[in-house]
Amino acid sequence: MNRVQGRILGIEASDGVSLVDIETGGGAISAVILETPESSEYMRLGAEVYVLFKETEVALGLDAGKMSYLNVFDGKVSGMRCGRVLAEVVVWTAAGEIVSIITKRSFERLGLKEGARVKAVIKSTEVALQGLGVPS
Amino acid sequence: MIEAHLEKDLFGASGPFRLSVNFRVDDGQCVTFYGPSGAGKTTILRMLAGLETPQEGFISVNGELWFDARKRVLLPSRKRRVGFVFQSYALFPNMTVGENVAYAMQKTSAVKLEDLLDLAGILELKDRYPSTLSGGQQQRVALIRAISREPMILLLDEPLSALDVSTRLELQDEILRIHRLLGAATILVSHDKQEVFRMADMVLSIKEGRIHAEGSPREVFFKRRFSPKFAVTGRVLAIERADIVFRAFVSTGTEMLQVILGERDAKRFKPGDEVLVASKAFNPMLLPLFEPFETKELRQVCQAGVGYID
Repeated sequence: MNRVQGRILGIEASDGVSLVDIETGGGAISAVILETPESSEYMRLGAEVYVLFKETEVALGLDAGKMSYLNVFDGKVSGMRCGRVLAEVVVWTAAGEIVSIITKRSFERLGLKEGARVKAVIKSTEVALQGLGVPS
Repeated sequence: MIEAHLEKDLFGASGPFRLSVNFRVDDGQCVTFYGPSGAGKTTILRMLAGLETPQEGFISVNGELWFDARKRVLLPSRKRRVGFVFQSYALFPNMTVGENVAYAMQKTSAVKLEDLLDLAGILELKDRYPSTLSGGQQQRVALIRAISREPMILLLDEPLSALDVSTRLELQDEILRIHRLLGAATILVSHDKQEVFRMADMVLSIKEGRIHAEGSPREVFFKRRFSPKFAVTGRVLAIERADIVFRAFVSTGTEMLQVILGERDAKRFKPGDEVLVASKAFNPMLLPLFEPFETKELRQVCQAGVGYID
């Protein structure tokens, strides 16, 4: 699981579904969640949260192009491990370390090497939040 | 509605302590006392039922004073309209199911014995003796006996802990159904988190005679606020390597789940750990539990009255 700490910057809510923007210190990350400011006390501007997303939900690309993903982080490959089917790639971004698990096939197709520039892409519906406290 | 303040010196495994609790349970609410054995949970139920007397405090049920230490009020147990279900069923072995329930009913009751038994689906057991019934059946009888007096409050003291998992789940539904039907304040003593999650509107977590946490099960058991809506508690059974990732087997009571973990997470957990299995509400897919087996042709044949093809 990837975990990045941040602060809630903006909330757009409708019928119990919210699009939340979180400033991580290295760029904003967006999450679509089923919480609203009415339903949950950490859903406040300025509240500290952990942003959680699974390694298997992080896609990698050489360029992000025109795609529906809201969360695109520029980074450099800082570590990798290959199995027979899967590959784990550690990417250093301004928001911190992001671990991605992709297929070995994709890994080879992208030709990833240590130090290579890469974009880490996360769908906002796959991002969860955990409240840490509300500023007083 | 129950309002109570109870104080009494008790002896626990690690020496004497004072039971000191304040709580309120509204009609229609199911509240759980959760905590280790010897924390005073059963004592609280016994005090509400009038089987034990507090040293200080009061008990008020629907505005009626059942106990008040200062005003020297003590309503005897038999006058308290309480339904009590024990872990040990506590049925009379020499009476049939019907006799057990009839014995508890008030003579003036407008409710018929048969209707009550039917309510719990145990009408066909009416003439059987408790020793010939399964644990689940005996507890159904005990539950029906408890509500036969149309109690103002329903007290359940670990009623399901002696039963196997599938019977327990069935009876949890049964208890919830009867609790809603009765509309009374229900108090459940339990040390099973999954049961508490499933049944309780509110949890009072008790340790050494004190309430140290209260709130919804989620608030009490997971203090940090967490957005995932798809979450179940479970226990890690095993973690196995699978290519470069790990596969955790998690038991959640009735189901066995598998969760893929990265290496770092795999190192954080070990078999036996209690965990929350969480996913975003966006991920899970719903599939029909029973796929319709008949083909369009077969349906047409049946509708045409040709007969059933085996």
